[in-house]
Amino acid sequence: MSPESIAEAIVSRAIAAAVRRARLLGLAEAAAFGGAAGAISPIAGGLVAAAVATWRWRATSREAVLRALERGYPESRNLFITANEFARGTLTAKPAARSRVFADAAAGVSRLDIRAVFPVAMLVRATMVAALAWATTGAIHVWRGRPLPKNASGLSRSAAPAGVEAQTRMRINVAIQPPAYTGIKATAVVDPEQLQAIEGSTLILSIESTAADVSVDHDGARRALARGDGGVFTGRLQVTKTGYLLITADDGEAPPKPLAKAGARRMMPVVVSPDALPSVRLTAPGRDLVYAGGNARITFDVRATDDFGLRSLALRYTKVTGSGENFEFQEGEIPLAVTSSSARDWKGSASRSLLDLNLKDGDMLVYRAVAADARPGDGSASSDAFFIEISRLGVAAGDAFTLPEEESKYALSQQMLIVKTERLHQRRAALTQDEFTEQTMNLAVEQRMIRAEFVFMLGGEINDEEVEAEQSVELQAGRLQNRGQRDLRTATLAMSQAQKLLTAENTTGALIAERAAVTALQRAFSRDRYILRALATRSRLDPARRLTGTLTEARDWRRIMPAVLVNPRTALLGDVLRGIAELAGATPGQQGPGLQPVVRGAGPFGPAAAFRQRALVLAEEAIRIDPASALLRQTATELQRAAEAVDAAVRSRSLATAATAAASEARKTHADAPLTSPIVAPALSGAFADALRRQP
Amino acid sequence: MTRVLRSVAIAIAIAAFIDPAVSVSGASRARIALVVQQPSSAAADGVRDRLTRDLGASYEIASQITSDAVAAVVVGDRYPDERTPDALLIATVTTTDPAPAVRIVHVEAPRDVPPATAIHVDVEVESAGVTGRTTDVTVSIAGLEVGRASHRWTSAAERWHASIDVVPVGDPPFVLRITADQAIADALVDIRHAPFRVEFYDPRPSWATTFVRRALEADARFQVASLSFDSRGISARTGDEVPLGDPRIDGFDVLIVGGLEALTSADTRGLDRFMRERGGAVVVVPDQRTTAGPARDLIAGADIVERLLEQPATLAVARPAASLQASELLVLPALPPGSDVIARVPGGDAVPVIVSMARGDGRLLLSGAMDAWRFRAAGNNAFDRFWQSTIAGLALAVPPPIEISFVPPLLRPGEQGEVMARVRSRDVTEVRASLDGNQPIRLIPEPETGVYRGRFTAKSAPGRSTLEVHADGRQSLSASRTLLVQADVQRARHTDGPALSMLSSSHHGIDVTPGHLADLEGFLRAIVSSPPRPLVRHPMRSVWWILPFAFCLSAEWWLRRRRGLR
Repeated sequence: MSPESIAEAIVSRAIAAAVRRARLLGLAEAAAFGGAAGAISPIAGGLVAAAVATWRWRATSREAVLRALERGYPESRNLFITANEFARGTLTAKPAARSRVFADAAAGVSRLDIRAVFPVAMLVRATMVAALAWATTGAIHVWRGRPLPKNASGLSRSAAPAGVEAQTRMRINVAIQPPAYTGIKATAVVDPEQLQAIEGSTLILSIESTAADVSVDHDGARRALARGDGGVFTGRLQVTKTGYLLITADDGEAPPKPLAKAGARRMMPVVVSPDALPSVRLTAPGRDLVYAGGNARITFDVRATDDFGLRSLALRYTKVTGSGENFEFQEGEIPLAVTSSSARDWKGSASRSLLDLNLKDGDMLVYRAVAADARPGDGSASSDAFFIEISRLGVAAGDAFTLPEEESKYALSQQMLIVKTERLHQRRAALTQDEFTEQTMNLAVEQRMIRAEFVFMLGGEINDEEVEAEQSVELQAGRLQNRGQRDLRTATLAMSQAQKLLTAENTTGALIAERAAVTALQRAFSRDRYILRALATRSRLDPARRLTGTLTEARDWRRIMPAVLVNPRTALLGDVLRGIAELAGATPGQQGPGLQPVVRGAGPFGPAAAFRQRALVLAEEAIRIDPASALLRQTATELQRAAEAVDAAVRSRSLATAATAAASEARKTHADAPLTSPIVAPALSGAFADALRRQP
Repeated sequence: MTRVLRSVAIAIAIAAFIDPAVSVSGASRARIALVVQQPSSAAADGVRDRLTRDLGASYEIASQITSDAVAAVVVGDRYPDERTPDALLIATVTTTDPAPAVRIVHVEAPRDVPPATAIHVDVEVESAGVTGRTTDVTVSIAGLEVGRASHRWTSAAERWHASIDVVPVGDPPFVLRITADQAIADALVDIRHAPFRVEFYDPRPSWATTFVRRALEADARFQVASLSFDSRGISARTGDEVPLGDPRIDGFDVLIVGGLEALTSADTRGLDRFMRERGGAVVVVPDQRTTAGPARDLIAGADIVERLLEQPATLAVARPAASLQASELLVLPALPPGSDVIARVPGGDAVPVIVSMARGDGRLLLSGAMDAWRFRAAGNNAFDRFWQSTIAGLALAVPPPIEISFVPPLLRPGEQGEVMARVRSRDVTEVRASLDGNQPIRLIPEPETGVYRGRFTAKSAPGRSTLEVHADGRQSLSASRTLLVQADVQRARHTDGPALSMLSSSHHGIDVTPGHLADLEGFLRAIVSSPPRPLVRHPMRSVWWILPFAFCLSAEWWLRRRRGLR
């Protein structure tokens, strides 16, 4: 290798080393500056790093590095640039001159300090800035009592209001363990807005928080959670009804505390789905049976279903023997051959003859199917009850129930009336018109008396208003509003119709109406026949509840009106709505008269913190009114979402949804709007009407 | 020459010092009111600017009608709600804004509602050329949307009636903002704190009224009294009951009567007087058909037919009341004049069953649903809710001792409004009103007895004012009402009201469009002349005298210097 080649290689290596150093330093500085900016925001860090890297990369081209070398070794007097041009062939010269240049350049390179040309001072400064930025961020978070997030920049949260910080301190993990008998697997959720669980489920809470104390308020019952391994607060709760959980993290400082130290609060509605009782029905025979005797074989078929699973299915009976006042009752069970297509759907069947059941003339067997689900305790339900009666007369059980002699005048049978009407209808040709009219009128009177009896049964003849009012409350609650009562009403209407037709001497039409009344009555009593037969003692009428008394004792009386209870729910919902309106009033021009926006001028901790605090309080208010209300749960959830929202549009939308839900719930508690009359000229309408009436 | 110039300058100075007055015969500038209806449109603003520019030189332009205005120009698109002086010459400029595709033409809301009661709002919306589109009508109170209804337009020009029940939010009075697409209208609803006073009168026990009474007794908005005769001379009483013949009966808003066939002539006379003179409401709840007797006189004019149904029918009830069920009905095939149907038999027959009739200043409500009480548990207590809603509506319509109303109900700052006070008592000797206790309002009696009207100007800043009315006579009465002043009041645009041109035609003016303002200007210049009057002028007070004065002095000085003089 010639000396010139050696010198050229030395110069080229030196230039390449300088370019490499410049580029490495540039990248390192970019990373340092990006790291400093990343303490504020990861995005900003990336942008800054990219910008610095681009800027520094432009200064690391070969030409730029050569210029830097020339500046770092001024004595070279463009020696490195000339050597580079010779090496690249952009400049030609005599070999002697070329050798001389490379030789001098190689000599210069040996004297050149590349570290001085490309110093690390800037990198050190950038690294110090980055370290300072991260130290500041860490200090802020330590001061606020919140560790740095794992995958996000800490200072990015600092842009949010101080109150928001408090909320994000908690991370709530909830494991929902349904009851074991349901066979449903446990689920886990993190920071849920709402919890869905089956009745009897266990909620296992694990809350990550730096707070000193964490407590949970479950439907008004507050308990502190214990800090477990790893500093996580844990607790177990069993939920049996729809309600709410309010988790509060506190620093242990005694109240009153400033807004910034109010602690983190998280409210979660808990929706509990009840475990429904089994549905069981007798598909065969599925009706009442009356035998005159013999040894008929009866096949019983039962079907039961449940939402989670069945535990047992049985056919139970009560045998009634005896007559008059001497009845004996014997309970028993007929084993069923059960087949199950799944744990939720069972079928059972059994077959017995009358002799197997040991039924004799006059005996009655009332039976029903009973199914139980797998829940602990009593989760059983029974089917409609039917009976099997042995009666030589073959009379229906209901007709065998008669009133005592002294009451017989009130016990005119609707069936007897039909018989009487049929007879009259058949004899009509043999009767004179007057006789026929008289007899139809008599029948109409009888029909009216029967109807009156049933109207009395419906409650229409009770004079004691308090008793009647109690009954009407029961009706409102739906406890007595069953099919039987509707059938009784249908029967009385048919009786009214029959009475009118009899008065009009229309026996054909009257018979149709009378039979319709009997059909309705049979329907009405079919479900409760066992009770009717099982009455061991005669019911006595209470004179105090009848229109009876001594006439001379009658006098004026003053009725004390029942106190009217004002529904507190109306006021509470009004308060929630007003609160939402005040929150919405933060938007200029939105607040209504008498409402003060809560966000403006909210104190030293800023309007956003005040907004959040107020929204959370409102959410708690809403859920406490009635956790079982889906609309109120939605209200609370949306308010909580509004509290956490940083985006104004999301906040506004959540508030609007919360308001709509709360208004819908409030509408239920408000009285209907007063009727409005479309009167055009109220002042003149009366005179106008009078004038028109006076017209001939 | 220098002497002449010097003399002229001295003469100007002397004349200025003397300041002589010269009397001439000149013309004054007449005042013309240029009123632009609010909210104004761009076209109306353009008309105002042009008229101000063109007529400003000849006339003094005022923005409101004043007592010394010789003429007025009203710019807008509808007949104004405010009264205008009858003798004033008024010309109009009818602007034809590009009509919005959807507009609110009418909003009906109650003047007052009792506490914890929904507010029923009826909105008439009109569309043009939006077939196939859907319009949402929303009702907001205090910035919160509390009610919404939607409608899909099916024809090019259509009108839709939306009925919405909303709950009040915040403090009364409640401002209801109704929006339909871009159209906005406001309505005002106040709260009625006084309970509805209702008395039940049963000359014999009646289940029909008993269950209505229970419905009202269970409602805190009602103050119920009852007088029921269980037998001859034996009565059951509740609350502060008053016999029908007692003058204190006027303290009640509504009387509810059952057992009609046992009513005496004195009873019916008392009930009739209660309706006609007191302006109260009487509700008649029969449980059987009454064909003769004093009760028949009470409901004279109503042709009543008994109708019995095999199955209870759910009556078609006017909103917002709940539906009733009944099977034994008294129907009214032919209604007396001035009747409102509240409930009808369902189906094609649609015979009225529950009817409200005008009786003097009051109302008579006849319920033909005789056995509705038997179905009181049906429909989520629809029976109770129907009667609570119906009787609350009747009681709200009963005039209080002093009723105060504003036109318009909501005012803008500085806007002129009218107050109408209706005093029920006939022996009033003096009625006076004041706004905020310091602004007396002159009340002028109206042709209708007991009605007084006055004009006032709302305060210049948004807020609340209190208007008080005092009536002196045999007994002193007083009432007050809150007046709300808001900057952004929006009103429904009545399309079926009288046109603005009617205002000019009734005030000897002309109506033009914005494209024919020259005609209007010509009309005004021809009709409204500035009256000549003697004017005193001071010609030397003109600043222009400084020019000849300075010229004379300068020229005189220049000439002297040119001649070599100093």
